[in-house]
Amino acid sequence: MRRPGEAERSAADFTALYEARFVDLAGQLYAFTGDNSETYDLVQEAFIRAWQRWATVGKYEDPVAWVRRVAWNLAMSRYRRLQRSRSMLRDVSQVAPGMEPDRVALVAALRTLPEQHRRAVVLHYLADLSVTEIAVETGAAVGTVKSWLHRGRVQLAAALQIHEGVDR
Amino acid sequence: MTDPIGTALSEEFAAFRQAAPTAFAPPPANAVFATARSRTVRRRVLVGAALAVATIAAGTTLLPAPAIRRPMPPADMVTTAVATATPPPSAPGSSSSTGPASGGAIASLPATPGSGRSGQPGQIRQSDWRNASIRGLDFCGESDDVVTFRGGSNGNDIPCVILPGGARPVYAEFLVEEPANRPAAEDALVLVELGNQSAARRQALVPVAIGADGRTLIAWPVIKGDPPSPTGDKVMTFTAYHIEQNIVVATVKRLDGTLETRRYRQAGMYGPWEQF
Repeated sequence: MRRPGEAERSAADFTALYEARFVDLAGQLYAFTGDNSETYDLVQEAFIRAWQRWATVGKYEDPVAWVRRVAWNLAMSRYRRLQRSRSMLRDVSQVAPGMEPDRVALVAALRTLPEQHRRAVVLHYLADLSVTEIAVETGAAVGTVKSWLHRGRVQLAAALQIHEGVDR
Repeated sequence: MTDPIGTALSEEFAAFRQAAPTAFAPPPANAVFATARSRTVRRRVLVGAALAVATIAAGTTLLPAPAIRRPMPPADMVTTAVATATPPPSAPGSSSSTGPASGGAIASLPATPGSGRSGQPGQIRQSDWRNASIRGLDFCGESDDVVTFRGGSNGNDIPCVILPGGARPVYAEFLVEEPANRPAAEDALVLVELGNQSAARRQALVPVAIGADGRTLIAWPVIKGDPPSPTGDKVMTFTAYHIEQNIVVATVKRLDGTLETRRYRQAGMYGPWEQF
């Protein structure tokens, strides 16, 4: 039986998590999709689903991991559908306000990567996940993730015109 | 050892992170609460309406009749994956599979094609499984409630493939539910595989029923195969399966390559499947 005040505490916990982690997740999803409004939709949808299951999700050791996985799964499936309908071809048409041109260049460069490579790179650099954690998150083998990361980094560096000899 | 590319990329992403708080201010949490609340209300209304319609429509007595088992193929036939049963021509999901590919599962079909527990034609047999939308198939790892297959796959990076290797569905009445919200007679058991061919994969047998609207395919708790080996190079596969008095009997090829017959029953009316 729910104790008095439990619902309020639950809502407060969720709100704290939402406010603390929305930006991180939005940044990751924006880096993947390159679409500002799509990013908001995806992250909000993931949090809505989390709140609907908060009695369970709230007890997880890391509820953010659950929200992140849902958001990414939504992103992957929606991205495919959008790509099929060609509507993703509008190139960085919905740039997030506040993003400087060089940050937009990063997002544009990311979009030249195949989606698995891009996902691995974003999870590694923006979600701070290790190779093993990305493997768990994506359901791929560790070796596969290493390959995605390696190829993604090489391709991204090329797109951003970062050359190995330049900084030496 | 320095990694100039890695360092440069880290700096790029660090700058991106610094810009993110300005770019992505979260909408008020109240918007999340309000949307979740409105969805809950809408779902309750829809479920209530569906139950009311189904109750009115349920004028027939639905008496369960056991599925009739066909003999399992001998082990040597299983390993060479030779089909022992031909699906009825009215089953589009099977028609595209003229015969299981090597390593595909053999489905022993019940001997009562098209007959339901009330004598209705088996609606679920009309399913185009390779292009089906199945609700509640959590095994595929999608966040969406409905998994949509196109050409046999959901098309994700980690794909979920329905009826891989030419496997075929099995039809029988083996999912118990109240007749009031159960207009369809037969259920199906289909094989699904999650994962890439080049990486770790896992198979599951998915019991599927037709929903109260007579069209929606709804997945019940699945029977998962064993997890793959840690390196993903060895995978347990279901090589044959059939229904026997509401019990799922499956022949599996284990990670070590040996064959084993397993029997599964449901724990409770809606519960998960347990091996016994």
